[in-house]
Order: sequence, then structure tokens, then C-alpha cells
Amino acid sequence: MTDLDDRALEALAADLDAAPDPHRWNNKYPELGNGPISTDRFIDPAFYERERKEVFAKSWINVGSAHDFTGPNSFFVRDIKILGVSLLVVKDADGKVQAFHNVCSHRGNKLIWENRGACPKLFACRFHGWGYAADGALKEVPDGEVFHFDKEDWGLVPVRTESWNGFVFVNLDENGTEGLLEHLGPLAESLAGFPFDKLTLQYRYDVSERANWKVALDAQNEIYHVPMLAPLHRFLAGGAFSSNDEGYTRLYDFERLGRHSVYFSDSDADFQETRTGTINGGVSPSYNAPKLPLKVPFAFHVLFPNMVLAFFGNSMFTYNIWPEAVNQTTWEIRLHYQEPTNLAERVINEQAKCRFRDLLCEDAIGHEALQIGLESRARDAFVLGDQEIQIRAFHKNLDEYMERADNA
Amino acid sequence: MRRLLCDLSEVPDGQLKSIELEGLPELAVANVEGTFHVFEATCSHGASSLGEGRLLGCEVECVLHKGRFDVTTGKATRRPSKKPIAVYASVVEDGRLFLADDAEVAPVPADTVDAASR
Repeated sequence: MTDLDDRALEALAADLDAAPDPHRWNNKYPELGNGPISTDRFIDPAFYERERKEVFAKSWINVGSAHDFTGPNSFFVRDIKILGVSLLVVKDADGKVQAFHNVCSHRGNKLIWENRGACPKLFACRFHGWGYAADGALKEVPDGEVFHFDKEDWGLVPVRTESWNGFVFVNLDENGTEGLLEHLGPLAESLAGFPFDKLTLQYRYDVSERANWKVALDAQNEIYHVPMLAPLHRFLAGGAFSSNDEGYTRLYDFERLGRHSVYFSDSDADFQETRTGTINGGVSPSYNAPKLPLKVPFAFHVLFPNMVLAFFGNSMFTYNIWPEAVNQTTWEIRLHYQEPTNLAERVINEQAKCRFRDLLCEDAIGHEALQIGLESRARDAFVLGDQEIQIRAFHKNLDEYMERADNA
Repeated sequence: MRRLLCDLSEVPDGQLKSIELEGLPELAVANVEGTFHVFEATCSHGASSLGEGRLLGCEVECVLHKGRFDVTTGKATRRPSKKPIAVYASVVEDGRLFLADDAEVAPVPADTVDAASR
């Protein structure tokens, strides 16, 4: 080999080093594989039943947050259809949060029908008037002398409850031993000290969709679609997601965090803000100054199994994707912003909400179309690119969780 | 020598026309409110002809992925298009449109026109 040949090879190697690796994330996490993903996972009732029994009935599930309480000594109700349960989640006067089955001990009636509110003196069943205290104790049994039991044995049935950064989680597995922090693992560590208290819940949408819950999650779990989906995504969001010279989005980073994961996206260097965005930025510069400790403006965490915790600039949005049947889902969307201190800031939040809502409408239509295509069984599998790595990670985590349950 | 592109009457206001000239990439002519603009017809994003696209004001929209370009500058104005397309100088004479003598203009990375906010 001549010197000239050597130089050429060195130059080629340098070029290859400099070129972005199109399989970057798969190379970082080869255990995620690169093969197709089966259609059955989204349409097979037997797979759905396994998810119910082995995942939702055993895992920690986010059921709400501090924002659902009206203050100390208040409650909210959460129905979880896939598990067939209704929960009464109570925050007592000392701030302790505990969930109970929302079921009267007398005959099994749904105890509280309101969504939320201040704790009444007693939670009273509308059927026969049995009354329970905020700690679940049975206190009042009308015409109690005709019964044959000890009231102490017939309080509300508690459910394992833990909170993390204001998010309330429950675990319906009576025999489970894993605590919430153990479940969250490295994800909790990565968000330790995050200033969640700078943001408040300001808008919520519950979107009913005829689609499998993972169709909705997967569709949100990548940004490959952002420059393509028309007309709103590319217009309103395209510039906020960095792309290569060809206009294709490229993740800034992706990390597996135990059974959870996160991807990050930087903003595009040549993004031109819309006029409304420019005006909003100027109205209240202090309000718009970066407040959250993010290395790039966008971070999208999937908390196994069905929660998304994402940050975008100064805002946070969460999804709780609730399976209701193999092809029926409620996509619960919660938008958190800084608490506005004047009308202008309120308008900024309202505008941001409207933009985001309209983008998600475009997504929601797609979810149902995806389900129809999958149910047609035109293909028994589909493919994912490297930029869709977090979808792979989620399905891998799901498989591993179910295998663990199978072996338990 | 000036090269003929088309008769002005072939490109009504708000319309596009594809032009093939030997030795040049496929070109397109856009009539924006009576002013004619000539640009490279192949979308910088994908293999698609902008001559088959829609003209929306001064923006041409590609039929394949709906990316857009400002035909007056060549600048990409809507994702997924990101790289500019070449624009060419032209002259009108006797109701006909010609490429200007020094027509081959490099892509103009104009930052003066923000079509997306119009």
C-alpha cells in the first residue's frame, strides 16, 4: 500500500467519524434490536388481557397529582376501567394522601360520584347513608342496631398509595413489595430536585379514541412525524425540533432509565418564530425567560407503563393513556404552565394551549386511522427507524415486565 | 444568447409552468400577481417536481411532502424542506419570458422574507 492510499483511508475514516451515525441509538442500545414489531400487540384481545393482568394490575400507576386536590382535606375520584376499579383518593388535613376503593362496604355501591372536592364531614353513601371518615373508617351506619358486625372491620378498603413530586401513584397488587421509588429507579434520580413547583395544572383534555392504548403512546413517542404531518405540525412545531440538512428530525439524546426512558430534542438553529410567538416573547420577557433546568428545550419521558412526563420550554405536559378495551383508549392530556400573574401572561398561556391542542387534534385523527390499518391485518408486523428508538424501548420494557410476571 | 422560457400568456396569475431547456435542470415559472419568477423545479427535499405543485401567494408547495419555497428567493419556508432551491433571473420582452443572460443564480439564502408568517 502506498502512502497516498494510506492518506485516503485516513481521510475516509475521518469523514465517517464526522458523519452522523444513522443508527446511533440502536448502536447505543443494541439490546433493543432493529427488527419489525408485531401487529398482534395492538389488536389481539389475549395480549390486552395479559397487559391487564400482568402490567396494570401489578405496576405503579399514576392516578393524578397534587393539582387534583382543592387543598388539604380534599379528594378526587379516579376510575380505572382496565382494572374495573374506582378509587377515592383523599388528602387529609395533614397532607397525607391515601387512596381507597371507592366502594361502600355495605352493598358495594360506588361511594362518591363527584370528580373532586373538599372532604365532607363524612363520605356518605347515597344508597343507605353509610358514612366514612377521611381515613376510611366507617363512622355512621343508619339503624346500625339491626346489623351484626364490628364497624372497625368495615371501613373503606385502602390501596397502596405513594407520591413523588406531587404525582400520586397507586398499586393494586396487594402482594406487591416494590415501592414507588424502586419502580421509578433512575428516572426519579434523573429528575431529583426538578422544580415541579414552578408549574401548575391549567388545562386538561380527556380524548376518547377508538385505538389501542399503545397506538396512541407510540404515535406520540417519536418526532420523526413532526416535519411531515400537515398542516399544523410542520408549521407550528417544526422549527422547535432540530433536524438535519434534509429537514429530518434528529434526537439530541435518548436514554433508557430502568423500565422508563427519555428522549431530548434541541431547537432548530434556523427556526423563525411566528409573529404571534415573537409578540408573546416580547410581552413579558421575565415570564418567558427559561425557568426549567433543561439542557435542551424538549424532553419526553415515558413512565412505564402508561404515563408521559414531558417538558417543552417553560411548560410541562403529561399524558395518562388509559386502556379501556383492546381498541378503546382515553388519552388524558394535562398542560402545566407557570401561574400567570397578569392578563398578558394569561393570554400567553391560553395561546400556547390552543397551539398545542390543535397539534394534538391532528395526532388524534391519526391514532384511529392507525388502528383501522392494524386491524385490517394487511401486515402482521411493521418497522421502526432509529429515530423511533423510544418506541422500541417501550415495547421491550413491556415485554420484560410481562415476562417477569409470567415467571413470578 | 437569451433563451426563451415561454409566452407570458401560458402562465396566468397564480399559476405555475414547468419548462425543460437543454443543458439546464428542469425549471418552473411562477406568475405572482403579474411578476414572473423562475426557479429550479426539483424540490431540494425529495425527488419531486415543484412544477406540479401549488402556488400559494409567493410560495410553491411540493405535492410529495407539502414542503414550501419562496419563489422570489428560493428559500425553504415550510418543513420538511430546509435547503433552498436555485432561482434564476429573467426578462420580459414582447410578451415573452426569457432567461436573463446571467441567469444562473446560486441559491439565495435570503433571510429578508419570512413567508411563513405572512
